[in-house]
Formats: sequence, C-alpha cells, structure tokens
Amino acid sequence: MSGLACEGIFTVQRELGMHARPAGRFVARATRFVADIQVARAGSEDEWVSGRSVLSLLSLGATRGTQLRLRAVGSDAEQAVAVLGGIIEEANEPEPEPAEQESGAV
Amino acid sequence: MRVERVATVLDGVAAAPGIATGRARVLVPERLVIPERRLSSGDAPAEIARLLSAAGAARARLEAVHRSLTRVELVDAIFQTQLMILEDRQLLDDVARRIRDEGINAERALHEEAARLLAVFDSIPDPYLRERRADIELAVRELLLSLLGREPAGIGPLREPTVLIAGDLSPTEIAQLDRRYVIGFATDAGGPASHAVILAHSLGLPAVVGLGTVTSAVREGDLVIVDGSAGRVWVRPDRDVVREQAERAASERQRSCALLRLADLPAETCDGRQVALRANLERADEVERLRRHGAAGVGLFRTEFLYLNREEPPGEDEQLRHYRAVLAGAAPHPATIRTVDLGGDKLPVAGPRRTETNPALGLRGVRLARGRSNLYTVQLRALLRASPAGRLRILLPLVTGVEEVVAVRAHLADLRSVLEAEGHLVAPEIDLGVVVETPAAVALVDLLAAEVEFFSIGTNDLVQYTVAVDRDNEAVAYLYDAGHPAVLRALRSAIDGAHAAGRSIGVCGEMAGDPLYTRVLVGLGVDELSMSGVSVPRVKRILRATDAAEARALVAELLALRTAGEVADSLLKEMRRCFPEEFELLPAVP
Repeated sequence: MSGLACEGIFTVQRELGMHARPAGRFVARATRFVADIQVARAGSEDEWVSGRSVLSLLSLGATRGTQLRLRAVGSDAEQAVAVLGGIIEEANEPEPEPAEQESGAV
Repeated sequence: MRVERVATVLDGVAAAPGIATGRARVLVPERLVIPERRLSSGDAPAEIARLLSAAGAARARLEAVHRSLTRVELVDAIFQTQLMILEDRQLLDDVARRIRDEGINAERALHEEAARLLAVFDSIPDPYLRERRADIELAVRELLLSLLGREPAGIGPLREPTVLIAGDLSPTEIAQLDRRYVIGFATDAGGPASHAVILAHSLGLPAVVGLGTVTSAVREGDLVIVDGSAGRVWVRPDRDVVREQAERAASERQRSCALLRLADLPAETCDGRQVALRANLERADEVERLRRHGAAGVGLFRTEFLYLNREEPPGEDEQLRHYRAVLAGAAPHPATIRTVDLGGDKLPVAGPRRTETNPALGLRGVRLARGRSNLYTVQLRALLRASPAGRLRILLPLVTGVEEVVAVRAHLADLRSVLEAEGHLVAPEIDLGVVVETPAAVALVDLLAAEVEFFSIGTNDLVQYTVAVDRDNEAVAYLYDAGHPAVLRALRSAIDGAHAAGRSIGVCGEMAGDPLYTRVLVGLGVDELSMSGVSVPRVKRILRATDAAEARALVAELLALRTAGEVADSLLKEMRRCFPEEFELLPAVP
C-alpha cells in the first residue's frame, strides 16, 4: 500500500445525523477506493473505526453538527477524503442517479 | 365446570387501520438457546467458514422475502438496512476473531459480539440513532437462525380467519404471514414508528401494537376484535360488541382500509401519467402524518399560524425551527412553503391599525414584501437558512405582476450572499413559484414563467376573484362554484400557458382535494395536486382509476357547456356512473 495519507474534518449536516442510509452510501463508496479509510469523532481520535463498516459508522452516534475526522491511507487517499467528506456534509439524500447506480453495480 | 372468562378491552397504538374479528392464535415468543461449544485446535477456520456461509444464506433469505413484497420506500429501507448489517465486514471480522481467539463456536461468538455492539448503541445519547439497535437485533437474530439451520418459527397451519397475538413480530415474520387467514395482529411491543407498524401499513393489515399485556390477556382460540383505526383490542367481546364492530368493519374496511392501502401505490393514472399528490399543512408537526396518507411531500405549508395571536411577528430562529421540521419531514420530496399570506389587518403590529374597507383587495400576500420589508426579510432569511434540511420551494401568494416576483428574487439573491458571508449554509437550488389566484396571474402566466420555476393554482381565491363572489356572504354564495365555466377556462389557460413555457403547475386549493374534480384536473393536465393529508387516499383512488385520455375528453365536454349548473350536473352524473360508492351520498344538484 502506498504511504500516501490524507485527513480532513467534516461536520454532519443531516437533520437525523449519520443514520443507516447515508452510512450505507458512505460504505458503498468507501469500498471502491484503494485507500484504507478510518473515521473517528473529532476529539476522540483514539477511537478510530473502519470506514467500510455500516455498524461502526452508526456506532459513532454522529448527530447533526457532530464533527468527524476522516483518515485515508493509500494511493487515492486524497480523492477518498474529498468524496467521503462530501457524503458526511450532505444535508439530505441525493436522488439516486442512474450513472451512480450503474457504476455501483460494476 | 366451565369458568366464564370476562370480556376485556385493551388500548394500544393504532398501527394500521381497519377492523378484524377472528380467533386468536397466540405466538409464544421463542427464546433461542445459544449452544456453547469449545472448539478443538484447528477447527476455527471451518467454524468461520460456517459463519460466512450462514450470513450468505441469511442474506439470500431476506432478499427473497423482500422480493415477495410490494416495493415501497419504507419497507425497502428496513430490508436494505438488514442486508447492510449482514454483510458488514467489521461485524463478521469481529465475530471471526472471537471464534479464533476465544476458541468458541460461531453462535456464542455472535451472541457475545452482538451484546458488545448493542451496549455501544445503548450509550448513544441521540434517541433516533440509538434506536438503530432494533435493526441490529433483527439482523443478528436472522443470522443466528441461519447458523442454527432453522427457519423462523412459523405459526402453523391455519383454517379460519385468525388474529395473531404476539410479543413482537419482525418484518420478515409479518411479510410471511399467510394472508389467506391472518386478518390482523396485536402485539405487546412496538411504538408508532416501529417496523411492525410500517409493514402492517404496507400490507393493509389492521393492527394494534404497544398493548403491553395482550399476550397474557388472550388465550389461544379466544374471539378477538382488533380495531386498528382506534388502537383498541376487544378480547372475548359480547354479542352486541361483535355485531356493532362487524357493521363498522363492513363499511370501514371497504373505505379507509382499502384507501390507505393505496398510500404506498404510485400516484398515477391507469395509463401511467404521474400526478404528484402532496399535502397542505397548517402546522409544522402535521408533517409526521404525510407518509401515513401516502402524500409525496408538502404542496403548501401555510405560514400564517406563526403570525397569529401574538404581539410581535415570529423571529428568524423561531421560524427556522418550523421550516426545518417541515423540510426534513417531507424529504426526499419537496416542501413548498408559502410566504405569509395574511392581510395587513391581521398581522401583529405595534400601534394603531389602518383599517381597510376591502381587505380582500388590500395590503396582503406578496404586497407585504414591497420595499424589502422587515417582515419579508426575516421570513426569507429563515427560509434560506432552513433550505439545506430538504428540498425547499418558496411560493409567493397573491402575485399580480412580474415586477413583484423580480423584486423577491433579487431580495433572495442578496440575502443568500449575506447569509453565506455570515457562515450559514444555503441550499444551491431553491425553486421559486407563484400562486395563481388572481385573474391577473392567469393572464400573465407566460410572462411569469420566465421568472419562476413552478406554479400552484390557489383555486379558493381564484374562484372568488374570477366570479367576484365573497363566499362567506350568504346572499351570493350560490355563485361560488369551482366548476363555473369561467373558472374552468381560467384553469385551462393557466395550465396550458405554464406547460407551453415548460413549467410545472399544480393546484393547492380545496378543489385539489375534492374527488369530484380529480378527473377534471387530470384532464386539464395538472402536474401536482396538494390537499389536506386525509384527502390523499380518496383522490389517489380516483386518480388510479382514471385514464388520462378519457379525462381530457371529459374536460372537452365540460368546457362546451354554458353554465355552472350544467357543468355540475354533467360532472356529477359522470362521476357517479364511474364511482357510485364515492358519490352516492352527495346531495342531488338542484
């Protein structure tokens, strides 16, 4: 694995917090990156959880306004942090796009 | 000697409407015994393989159950969450690690890992996120059953109409009920948003949950009445109650239950033309009932109640809370919020009021926005700040000219810059629309279309302004008629004009929620109908039984008539012919 590492802090914007649906989308997207992805509540960085586990993301109990630190290590780390940070900061669920569904099925 | 057991009435949470009377089948909650085995050295890989194949089998079973159900958003969400948990790598890795490190069998390892995970969830302060533990419990149980090589306990063969009595029912159990015989259910557990409620609704099965003690109050074979509309269960009712409820059931089952079952079906004509059915709200907390009625978002949130009965207008933060709740509750559907439509005479102001001799034609609606009034600035700021919570559409009332819309749009653009500079989030796209409720707006639809994203026809005022009638004035109220030829022509003109400009147009007045007019409005080509939530099921039933081409033909016939009376006669005759049960109770047209 390439040693390229990238981090970022993102704020949950959803009214209901990181619930099952966004967590599921986060994981589905995270598994398409080469980089290893971990998430922690900002301020509790000794408790990293896997970014590829819905249960782990849900267990963070991240409500609206919670700051999450995202850490990616691997060749596409920078892109992973940007894309996944975007999912954390979405205010609501985007309509499923046909293109996204297609590429997701590959 | 036979002991006479007394009748009992239990009250719980009304889960899904309708009345079901049948013999009770009491499900004894099955406690799964977790076998405990120490593994011999070298057995761990085989045990882990058994875990993974059981997870695969559990997923396959859930997917099969899911496929057998009607595709409904909320039901989809339940099953998708289950599937996500069952393929969660972290969960399976952690259980596998316990198998390997602790030398215990898969069932035991799963049980212990689940206990750890549930304890983590129990410590989450946010109640909504904490409740996700219910999803984990369900998924773990599915996986455990799969490991034990067992199907979920069936309820055994049934031969007569049966009411199921249980501690709790999982989505899978409910989905697999034998619908030929199971006519309703009642459970000890469950709240208004539980899985059981969502499933019962989508299956149209009368149900009451959250009864607490129904499993101990009912014995196998007891006669039971489940009133899912009132949230009440009668156990061993006497003959009078049975007869009384049977009569209610006969009429109600035909109407509300069958209608609400429509809630999850698409709002479209039988030839596939979609018409969005949305709800009108007076208060933000009503947004919770949208799903139950099958409304696709909010077509009109009237903001007036925020301003009534108070000394000063509501502040920005107070408004923000209400708008956010409406937007979040409507998501992923749009929430259309109308700016304040009170007459100047009803607004809270300090000092003496100016009295208007003719308030209907006075200072009200968008006219209050003139000069970037503080009243509008506060409301627009609150709306923009609330916008990230959902899909906001802003609706301007009583528009009579293009310049009014241009002014508000410029005001919105400036406020957006200010808010963003202050560090607030504002949604990138917010649709702006106008209420078509004045003859001026009807005449200007093509020009207004260049300035707005959508239109909503406010038929109450449009009728009033078109035929010049105050319907509260008994002397002339007879002239108030949504089927008046002048009104039908105005509707046709507005709808055709909006479509020619590529804009969507809906109706948000009482006409939209009156099933008598559903076919007419579909025939005229509306894209959206917004009404009181309780009207949605009835309108949807008419909509789904309507052919768009036939509706256009009906409109053509009605438009050829000369008087409001002729239109009313002809329309009622046609609707009675097509829907005798819906229109039989309407008074005959004089």
